[in-house]
Amino acid sequence: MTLPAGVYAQTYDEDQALVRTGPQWLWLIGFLIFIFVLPLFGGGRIVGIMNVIGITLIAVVGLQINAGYGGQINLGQSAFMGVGAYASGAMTLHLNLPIWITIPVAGVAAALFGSVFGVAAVRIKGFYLALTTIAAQFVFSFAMIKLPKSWFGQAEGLRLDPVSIFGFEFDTDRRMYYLIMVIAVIMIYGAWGLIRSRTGRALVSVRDNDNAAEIIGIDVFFYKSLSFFIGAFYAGVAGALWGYYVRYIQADQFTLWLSVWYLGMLIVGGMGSILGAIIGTVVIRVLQEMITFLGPQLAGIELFAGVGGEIIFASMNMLLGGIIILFVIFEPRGLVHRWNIIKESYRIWPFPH
Amino acid sequence: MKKTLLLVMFLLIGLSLTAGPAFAEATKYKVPVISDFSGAYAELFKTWVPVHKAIFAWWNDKVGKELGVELDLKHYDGRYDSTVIASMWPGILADCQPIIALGGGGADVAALQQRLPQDKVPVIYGTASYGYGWLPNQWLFQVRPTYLQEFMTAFVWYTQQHPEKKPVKLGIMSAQITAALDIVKGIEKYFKDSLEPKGIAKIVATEYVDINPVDVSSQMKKIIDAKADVVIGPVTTAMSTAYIRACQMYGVNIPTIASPHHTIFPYARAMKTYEPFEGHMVVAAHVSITDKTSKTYEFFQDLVKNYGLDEKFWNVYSMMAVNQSILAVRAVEHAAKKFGPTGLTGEKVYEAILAEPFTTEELMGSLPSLYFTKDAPFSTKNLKVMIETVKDGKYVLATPDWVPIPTDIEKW
Repeated sequence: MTLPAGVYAQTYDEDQALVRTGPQWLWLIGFLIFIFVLPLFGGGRIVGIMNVIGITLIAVVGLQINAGYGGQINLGQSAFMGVGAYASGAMTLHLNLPIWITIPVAGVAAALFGSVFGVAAVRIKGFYLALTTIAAQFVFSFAMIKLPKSWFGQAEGLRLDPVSIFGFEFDTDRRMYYLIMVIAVIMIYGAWGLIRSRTGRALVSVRDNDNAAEIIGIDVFFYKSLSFFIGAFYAGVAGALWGYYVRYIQADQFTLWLSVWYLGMLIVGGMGSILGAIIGTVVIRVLQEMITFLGPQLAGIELFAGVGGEIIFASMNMLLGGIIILFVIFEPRGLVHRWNIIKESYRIWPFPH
Repeated sequence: MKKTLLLVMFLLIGLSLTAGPAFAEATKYKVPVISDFSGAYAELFKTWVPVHKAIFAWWNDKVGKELGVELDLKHYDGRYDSTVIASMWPGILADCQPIIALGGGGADVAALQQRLPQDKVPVIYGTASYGYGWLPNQWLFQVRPTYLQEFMTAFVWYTQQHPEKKPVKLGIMSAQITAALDIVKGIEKYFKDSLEPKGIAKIVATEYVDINPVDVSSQMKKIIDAKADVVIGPVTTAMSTAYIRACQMYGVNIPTIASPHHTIFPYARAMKTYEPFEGHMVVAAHVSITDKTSKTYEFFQDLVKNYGLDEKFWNVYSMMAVNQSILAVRAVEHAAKKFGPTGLTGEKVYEAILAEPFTTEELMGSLPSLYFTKDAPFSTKNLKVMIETVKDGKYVLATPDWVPIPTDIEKW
């Protein structure tokens, strides 16, 4: 009698399962426990970095659905995040609504704003669409500065007190960490489910060839708008968390530059993969932290005194841009592709990949 | 024998002196500086960092040693990015347990302003303030009042120098960004409340341009057509360069009012001439770099001679770092005198900042005496500025004395 080799599914449910093997379950549970206990052992710096990574991750995963799966280039993700931040801030400040209402509603507000640009995507593509989404950035800033002060505070912005849920106040970095991580896990799980669903397949078909997709009966208009709606929803949720974390919301915090970074994270991680979005976000954020740490250190070292601080600072600044260029040239499918090769090689070992 | 005994005695005394500390060991406190080494304002920090270091070294040497306090600066690269600063700050709290910090600008204000009262760390800024930052119970402290108060002082001074032009016609050139719009809003309110009813001045044009424009000639045409006597607005070097180019194109020279780091100095540094800014004004609530007889310049020379600071750092950019550093060290000094050198906390330094004024002598003549209260993040008493201009192609003081800021400017 011969035994089957490798992992294979015997039922449709098994085939569709997100986690397919025992070791995968073990890794997942171990990882979740690690995330849970990290702030208990990690210092303040780690918690701060993780909080920003968590918030950024939600926005970048949303952008992955929009750009990576839906194929709609989007340079307005930061503006959509801003809409979410302002919406949740205003609801908390003026209506005193609890965060389990304000966070999803902020997502919907950003999604509605994002859908407006999704409508444009039906007629335009590529660079033209990129320019349209850049407009979102300017419309957002202008609106937030010009709308009545009693709504969004105009130039003064919105200042918030720590939020709470059922009497539990999120007034420290560690407490915010748990709120951010719980929501990030839910959003990432949702994204994974979505891309494996009928909607996800429709988005991919529109991305790959929208004419062919239309011929096989996919409503291109609907799915292009939907990809913006979902992407902006994620950004809105991330914006709400940002607002509650920093407790001060101002239009200047949500720049075009930030949207460009989000796209850079996707390029480094890998377009069209949720795991790619996660890897890209973590790698770029960690690199930024390293530069943040190394810049002052190098400038203070005697060995580099002759080089001049300005050259070190400029080099540090160019490093991040250089990494993105290198990825585009040498690994356009991103780090996730490398990861997949490593996984495949491990699975068929000792045979060569 | 006697000689040997004496020698042994001297040796023992010498040994005891070298073995034990001459003074009680100073209590060390880390002072974090939120800097920008790789972001939009990295250029500015190249001049700020050496000044921070020199002033803290001077204070440790001249004051701290006697008080039993040593301040250890630690620069962090915030990249002038709120997200970086927000992620970095909890680590700074853990690393330094700061009793005071030095801030960089708007990005860290955005990231930290709301949490500082909870973290209990006073943060000192070297720049001027904005109307939207004019709030009570702040833990951030600014060495200068709002840009608007500074600009309006220079404008009112200008109207007094030109009574024949009454009502003086003001043109505004601004950008659609939060900070610039705040200034426009403040100008409009002050004109409406005070200058227009008194017939002193009126606004004749308000034009918006990009924050870093290539050309402002069409907006400039409208300002010229409106017959503006003075323009308030250029807030970046690019804007001031485009402004001068437009003036040259139309063959006019309408003086501007701006901050020292906005127009005359940065333009001249690049173009090697002050001439296009003949008659223009820059204004700030700190001592002028053109005044080399000031106590601040004397102090600066001490830093150059004894603390390794380069003479080239005597410029309008580093003045912000001078003011920020000197206020920070004096704040710790007040706290150490009030509570003793050990066990200082951010809360104690905060209390000390509010408890007593900082005299202009303590601030090395660089700033007027500062009186901090809980009403605002800047001193609201004894406000005054220095106005500089270009005369016969030279960058000079427009008037040798400090000019008091009008007291009728209210929060907008």
